[in-house]
Amino acid sequence: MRQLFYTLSMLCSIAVMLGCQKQESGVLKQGVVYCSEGNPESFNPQLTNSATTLDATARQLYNTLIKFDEEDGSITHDLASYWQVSEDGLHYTFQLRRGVQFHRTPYFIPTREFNADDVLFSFNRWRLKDHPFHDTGGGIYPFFDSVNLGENIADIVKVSDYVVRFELNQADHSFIHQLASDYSIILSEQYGTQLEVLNEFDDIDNYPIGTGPYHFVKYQKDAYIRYYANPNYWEGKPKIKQLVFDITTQSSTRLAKILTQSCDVIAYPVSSEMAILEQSEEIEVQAQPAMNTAFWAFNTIKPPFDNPKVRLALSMAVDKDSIMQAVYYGTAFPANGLLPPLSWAYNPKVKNPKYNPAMAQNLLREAGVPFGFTMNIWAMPTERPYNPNALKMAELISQDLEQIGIKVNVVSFEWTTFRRALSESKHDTVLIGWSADTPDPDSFFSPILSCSATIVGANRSVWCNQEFDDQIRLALNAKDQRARRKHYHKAQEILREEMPILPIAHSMRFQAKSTRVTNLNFSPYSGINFAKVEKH
Amino acid sequence: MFAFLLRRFNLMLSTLFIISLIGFSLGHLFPGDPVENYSGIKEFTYSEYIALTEAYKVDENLVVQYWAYIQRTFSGDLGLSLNSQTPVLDEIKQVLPATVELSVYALLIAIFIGIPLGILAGIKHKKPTDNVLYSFSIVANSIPIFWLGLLFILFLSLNFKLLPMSGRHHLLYEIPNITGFVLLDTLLLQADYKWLALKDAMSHLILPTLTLAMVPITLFLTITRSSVIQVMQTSYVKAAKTKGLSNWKLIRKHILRNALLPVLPQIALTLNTLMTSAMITEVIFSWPGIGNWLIEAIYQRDYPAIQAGLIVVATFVMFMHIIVDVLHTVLNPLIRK
Repeated sequence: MRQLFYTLSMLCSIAVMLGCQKQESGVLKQGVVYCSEGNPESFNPQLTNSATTLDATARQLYNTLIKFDEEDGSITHDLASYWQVSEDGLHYTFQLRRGVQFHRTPYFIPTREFNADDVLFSFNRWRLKDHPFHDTGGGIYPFFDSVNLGENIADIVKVSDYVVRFELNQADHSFIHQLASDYSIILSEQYGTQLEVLNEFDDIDNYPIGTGPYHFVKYQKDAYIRYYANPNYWEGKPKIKQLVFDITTQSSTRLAKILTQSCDVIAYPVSSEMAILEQSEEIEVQAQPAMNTAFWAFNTIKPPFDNPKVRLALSMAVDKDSIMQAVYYGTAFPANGLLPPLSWAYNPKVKNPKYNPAMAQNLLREAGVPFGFTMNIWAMPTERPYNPNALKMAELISQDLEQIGIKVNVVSFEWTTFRRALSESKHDTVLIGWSADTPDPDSFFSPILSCSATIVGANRSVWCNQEFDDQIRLALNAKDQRARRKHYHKAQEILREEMPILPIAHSMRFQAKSTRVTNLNFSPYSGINFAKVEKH
Repeated sequence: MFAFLLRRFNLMLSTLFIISLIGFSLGHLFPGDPVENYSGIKEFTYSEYIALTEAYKVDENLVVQYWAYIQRTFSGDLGLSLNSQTPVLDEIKQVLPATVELSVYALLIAIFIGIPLGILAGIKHKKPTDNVLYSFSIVANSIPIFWLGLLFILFLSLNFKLLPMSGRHHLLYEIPNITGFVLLDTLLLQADYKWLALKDAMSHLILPTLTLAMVPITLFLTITRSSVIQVMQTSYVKAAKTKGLSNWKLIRKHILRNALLPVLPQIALTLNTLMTSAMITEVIFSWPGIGNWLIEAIYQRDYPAIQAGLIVVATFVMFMHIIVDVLHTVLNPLIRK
């Protein structure tokens, strides 16, 4: 009995001693954990248009030829050290940076530095249908396809090992912006050749190789992504050794994780949690106006939503003020159009329809929609920068619609499944939104409402309007900014008449980080960037 | 004994048959094409589709189809996950050890806490100790575990910041998946942060294990208690007492051995409830086990994963149950009749 007592007290004291050792180990100081909101769809940004995938890959693994300046959004060099545009706007010549190394990993060891072949390989992969890697990963490149970039590039010429020339069919103002976006990343041609020999084409998107500050180590779905610092990074080796994405879909869990220091940075804290985050002295909330819009898209190929009158009536029935309060808690401002007022192409004359349930009801009856009509609203399962709580928004809208005699079913799936079903256009209406890829106004129109966006399944309204398409195309070819503005104003008027979507809000973008982490880039012009991050 | 084993074997076979029937019919009952539901391949070329239709015998009658399904399952082909496009079996191999680990620790804790407390309560029957322990077990047994888990998180993680609330270890510690059991893997680790990582893994284990162990603790406590009370009233204990046997000897020699017999089958039964409660615990503490994985599969409408997950979990629980049952019979010959 006595022996037992001694052993027990020994065990207890050991346990206490272990508990007291609360110094932080080196490993925890040399790495940053980012709690992200979902699984990436791929490790190649070319294949997607979801911000989750961009955040996880673009600025961590890859570089682009040129990029947006983090502060002012102007275009600055990345892998291209210098570039020149010909006078007619048809030729863009890039001088490439020398001495840039690709990632050295267990699955690929580069033997040469980055050069013009890699640029050709990366662009030809999505541009040329007969490229060996074109159909790898589905053969759909949502961003490039929806802005029709491939059709406008006549040729890409390798002038020398370090000079590349892009030749366009038509002058295009947004071309340079598209090249600077997170999608136009540079892959390794040598790695591609290696995979071609091994006949492991899919690996190019699953085991990525780039020139970025971190290289890929491991990805476990629904759990984490692990990156190591790239010791040969051309801008200088990152200050930390490891970068881990902790995939946490619930925003309340992300909040708890940053409070308990399991995470150093969290994605998309929702508006209702701001108060808790601001109370803590160890946490810093960063905010900025963002180029985004939350909207309600009507599936215009499904009756009765093919009738603009019905879409207008439904838009009138929604009380936007209550949404601003109950969903955004004052962290957004109401939208009047797809384009945020920050943009130079914003048309101040276009206003959203006023809240008017009585008139909405009249319009519906005129359009022949019976009392008690049932429809569904698809709501995103996860919070996005433009919409912190789509389910709540859907419930508010369904209450409003009940007033005018419409029954609503709210539908929601897991995010990846949700996006897949959406591109198959199975929905009646959907609450979704858009964060611009580039500050150019075109990035609000072509990628989501053009006819080509409909073809690739990125147009949530499945809306194809020739007049609208003409306007945005004319804007791209226009001589100067004033002429472009005229076309964009007209395009916004068409949107207001046709109502394929009801714009709801432009939201602020937030990010919360521990005060131990510094130098984290938080820019409205691109995805999150950990290249220079430090931990103390 | 032989007849007994035969009976158990027969029971196992018939249960497996029913489980496989359910798994098989799910492939037809889920929305979508049976070939897609069974294989988990999202995009086929025409020739692939034909080849699979042939292999799965989808064109033929249900009996032939079922037979093909059984053959596939036994050869370990459970299809691909619709979402990740990796074999479901590989995914299960990755997540199942985490659940087993959690359940085993919870069971051990329940045995080492619940049974001694039960004995104590039984011996001190109708005294304050007994009253306190018995009320505790009733209260603890009535608390739903998802609520208990959340309470633990609220107080121990968020308010007092004593223990972490999710995952198996801090993600910056890179622990390779060799055995799938996090403590073993950490011990096998070759790195200078090995002991820190072990401490970290232990601290991650505490809350989920305690949450999961709570119901079994109360269960063992009450059963041991009532069994001890029963044994205490038997005449052989009374006789030993009158002979002047010391209390400790009395407990050890006469009460313990006889009182623990009815507790053993309870441990086996608890294993089943543990598996189901483990799923809830896993979701609360983001523990990457099979429960978390299955629920994620349900959210993602990942039919092959749901189907295979159900089969694997059911088979696993049944095997464990029968093994414990056989062990119990070996230990206690009275039951065989």
